[in-house]
Amino acid sequence: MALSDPRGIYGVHSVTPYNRKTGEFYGILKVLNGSSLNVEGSLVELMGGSSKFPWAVETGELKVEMSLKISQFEDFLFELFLGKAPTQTSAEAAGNVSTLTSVVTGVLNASTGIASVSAKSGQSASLKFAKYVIKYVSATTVDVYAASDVDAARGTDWAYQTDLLKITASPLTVTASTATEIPGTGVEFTGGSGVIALVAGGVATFETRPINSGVSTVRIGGLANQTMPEFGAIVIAQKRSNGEMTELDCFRCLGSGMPIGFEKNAWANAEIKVKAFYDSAKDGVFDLRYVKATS
Amino acid sequence: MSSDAEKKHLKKYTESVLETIRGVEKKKDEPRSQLIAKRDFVIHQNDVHIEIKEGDDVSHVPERYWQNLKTENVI
Repeated sequence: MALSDPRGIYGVHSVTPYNRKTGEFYGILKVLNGSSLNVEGSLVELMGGSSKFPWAVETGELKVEMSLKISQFEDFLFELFLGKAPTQTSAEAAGNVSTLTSVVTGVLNASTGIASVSAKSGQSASLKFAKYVIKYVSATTVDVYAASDVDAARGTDWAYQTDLLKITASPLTVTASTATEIPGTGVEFTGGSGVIALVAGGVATFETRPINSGVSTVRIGGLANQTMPEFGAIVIAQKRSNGEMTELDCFRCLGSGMPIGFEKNAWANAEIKVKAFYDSAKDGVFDLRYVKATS
Repeated sequence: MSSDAEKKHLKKYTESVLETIRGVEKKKDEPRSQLIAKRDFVIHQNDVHIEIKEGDDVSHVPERYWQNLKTENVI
C-alpha cells in the first residue's frame, strides 16, 4: 500500500459558538481572518549543581488559546465578549423618533417648554440616523444641533450652519400646543400647554432612525452586565478540493473584551482572545474530527 | 300692562338694542391700535418667518404669536 496523502488543514470556513447549557447555537461567524487554536505547553527543566544541562525535563502546564479574528459584528458577540445581548427591534416602516430627554432643565417641559418631539406626518422618509440637541436661545426660541452629518442627505437635506454643529438657520419659535417643524429632519416638536417660558441654559436631546429593516441597541458596561458567559465553539476549516474537512469542538470557552474598530477606509477587524479549558462533564478540552470525503 | 306702558317699554328696549349695535359698529370702524416693537425679534415657525425691528408696528403679526412677543418683551 502506498503512502497516504499528507493531511492538511487549509483555511477557515466558520466558527459557531454554542450555549453550553442548552446546546443551541448563538449564530455563525463566516467573515473570518483566522481562528487558530494554540495549545501551548511548557517544559520544566531540572537544573542544579555544576551541570550546565538539565538533569531531567518534564512537561509543564498546557494553555489553550484561540485567536478569533473576525470582520463581522453579530449581536451574539456583544453577549459573549462584552456581557450584554443587544435588544433587537423589528423593521420600522416609518422610522423612529425617540423621546425627548432633558440634559439641562429648561427646554423640556409639558407646560412651559417643549412638551415632545415626533415624526412629522408624511416626512418619515427624511428621518435620519442622527442624534440631535435642542438648546435654549431665548424664552420662546430654540436652536437645534446635530452630532453628525453622516445621514444628513436622506430625504430633505439639512446642512450645518456653524462650527458648533447648529443646523437651524434661524432660531425656531415655540408656541403653546403648536407643532414646529425642525427643517430637514422629518421631526417636529410641540410646545407645552401653558405660557411658553424656556429657561436659559436649557438643553434636551433626542435621536432619530430612518426607515429600516431592523435595529440593534445595546448598552455595554452596566454593573449588572459585566459577566461573560462560558460557551462552546465549533471551528470548521475550509473544505479542501480533495474532500478533506476538519472540525474542532472546544467544549468550554471564555473570552472577554472585543475591539470595535473604526479605521479609515477599512473594514473593522477584531481579534478576540478566547481561552479554552477543561470540561469535567466531557473530560476534555476539545474534540477534533477529520474526514476525507470520497464522493 | 297698559298699551302706553307697553309702547314705552318697547321703545326703551329698541333704543337699547340700537345703542349696542352702534357701539359694535363704532368699535369696528376704529383703526386697530398700534403695537410697537421695543426690540428686534424673529419669529420662525414652519412657513412663517417674520423679522421684527425695534419701532415696527407689530399689530399685523398673527395673534397666536402675541404671547411670545410679550414673553420676549417685544411688546
